[in-house]
Amino acid sequence: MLLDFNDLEEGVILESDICIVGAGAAGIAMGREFAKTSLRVCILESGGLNYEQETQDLYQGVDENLPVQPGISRLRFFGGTTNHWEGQCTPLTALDFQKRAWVADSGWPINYGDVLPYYQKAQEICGLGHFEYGEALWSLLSEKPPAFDKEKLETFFLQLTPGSARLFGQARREEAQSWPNVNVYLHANVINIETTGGNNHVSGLEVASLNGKKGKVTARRYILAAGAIANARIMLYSNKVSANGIGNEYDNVGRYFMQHPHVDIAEIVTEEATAKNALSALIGGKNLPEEGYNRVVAQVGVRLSPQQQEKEKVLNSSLLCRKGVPFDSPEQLLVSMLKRLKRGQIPDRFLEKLWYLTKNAGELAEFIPLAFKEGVEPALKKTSNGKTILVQARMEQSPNRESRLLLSDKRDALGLPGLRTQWRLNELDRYSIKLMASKLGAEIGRLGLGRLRFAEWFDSFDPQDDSPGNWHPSMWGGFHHMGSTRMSDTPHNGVVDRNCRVHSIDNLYIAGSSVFASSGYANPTLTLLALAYRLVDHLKELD
Amino acid sequence: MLNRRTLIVALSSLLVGARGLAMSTVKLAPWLNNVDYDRDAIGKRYLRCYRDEANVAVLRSMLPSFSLSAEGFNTLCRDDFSRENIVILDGWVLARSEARYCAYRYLTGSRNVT
Repeated sequence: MLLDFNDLEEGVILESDICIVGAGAAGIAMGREFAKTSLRVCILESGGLNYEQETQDLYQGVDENLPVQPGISRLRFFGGTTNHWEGQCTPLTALDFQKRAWVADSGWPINYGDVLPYYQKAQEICGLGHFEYGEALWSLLSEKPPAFDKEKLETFFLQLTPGSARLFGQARREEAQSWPNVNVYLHANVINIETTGGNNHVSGLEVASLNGKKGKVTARRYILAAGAIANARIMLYSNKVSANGIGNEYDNVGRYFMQHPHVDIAEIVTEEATAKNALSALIGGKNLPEEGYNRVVAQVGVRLSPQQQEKEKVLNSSLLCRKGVPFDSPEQLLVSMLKRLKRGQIPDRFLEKLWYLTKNAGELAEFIPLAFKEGVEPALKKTSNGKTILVQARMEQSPNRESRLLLSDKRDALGLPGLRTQWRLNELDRYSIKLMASKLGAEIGRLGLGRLRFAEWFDSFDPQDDSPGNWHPSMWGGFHHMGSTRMSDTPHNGVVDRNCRVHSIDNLYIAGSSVFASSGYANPTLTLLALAYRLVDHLKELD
Repeated sequence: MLNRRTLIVALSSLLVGARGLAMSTVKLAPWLNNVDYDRDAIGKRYLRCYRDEANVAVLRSMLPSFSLSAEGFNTLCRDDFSRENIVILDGWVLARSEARYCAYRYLTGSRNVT
């Protein structure tokens, strides 16, 4: 049932068996499962049923290194961040779960096989077809991928969640209304986690609304499912007993924060016929056949084979291709310069580039009005010359203790400490992207499909340069926040155990991508859903 | 009088000359002529990056044959790519051989090598 916390009496105490904090993808998926049981469940959602600026402002934070943009990347209302999710799904690979000698702090305490049974269930809530993301899917399509050397490069698929299922808040609203034993309380913010027994047992959650209403929730078990930013923040500001917050005896909460660096790095320069034929398999959406796939659309990516990752000692990374305009075209140059200027940076060789744009102003005559009318990306797509294929990197970030979320001195509207982010990438992250690009370049050349040309910024990109300015200003993390309460065998190097229980607390669990111990290149939603279902099964067993 | 040394030099010159002439038949894949692929810039950059090859004789010795057809040259490049014998110049990921040809072209001023 959907209820508004503001409608309850002041000082209300809500009792339940299980309390879930957050009604995003994980919270809603778990709510559906618990609705099939006799357990009394309450879900606390910070927002309402629709976007409210005042609630969204609770996410405001300060990025102190590379961009995280919590204020716009997360959404704080029923459905959570799925409310602007693009719906791209693909699983982590078996290697992502393993300890890799060349990746510090890699490895989960569980393996791919532990999660595999739950991926299919995650497929269902996302409205997807069979759990198949590998090269076997090509047999269902008329196109064939370029014949990459399998020892080096592989293709993989992303399935796209159809619109009817993608926005969890809308798709599941009616259903949630009818859950008999699961109550969703809107406008209910957790302002403190109360503990007893020397900070080892949660006794209740203090809850408040922005209208000033206060209350409390008690349950036998609690699950934080508020996203990788809010999960850590709630644990950090619940510091009445311990200054470091709860579950943070080894200073791991908020650390190992990861995203997937997304950035255009290169273009494949080829002839139009090749772009239309041999390379077209890598571009655009593919309609999967109805049988077993519900006509789901899939996209294709290219990744390094596991053998190659081991041989080269690099991360698991992917590249996605799309049609576009060349990097040195006036259109791309204009966009790139404006992005730098927007960031307060003067582009390199500014006057030279300005002169080039002035000289080629005629070529921008079609692009500029189109960009104003339809947006920059659609305009770039429409002015494509048909033979330039842009390559976007979507990279794994290695687990990095220095990449972290912290509390700030500023207070939000609820009087809670705000957020500071320090998203940091290291040399291995940067080296891996460069190596991946040159591998693709070599394979494109070997197959006679054209030549790969790095974007100007990427050509001078230095893996040893740690400064944010080394990256192109358009580099972003895909809004894929992961790892701030990572899973580990021991509390020394993580926050939750293999069952997603906070190491030091006997009744507090965490759902969502904050438990990821490593990130692969895969969009996190499918995996976080699988892990949420696994957690539900575990809690059912305990009962 | 034609002594042995003179004979060797003369034969070498003939061979080099013949190879130089044959090189004018080398062509890159036709589509490469349609893209923004500045051979001189690539050649110049290669010479700057690999100074120990900045010499016509050295470059000649590095290139296996000057009498390649376009297909033969492509095969040479593909072999390079296959062995990841690549260079990245001005952002282009290139087979070592094609970069060397660009360097040779730049160094000799030959415009017949396309």
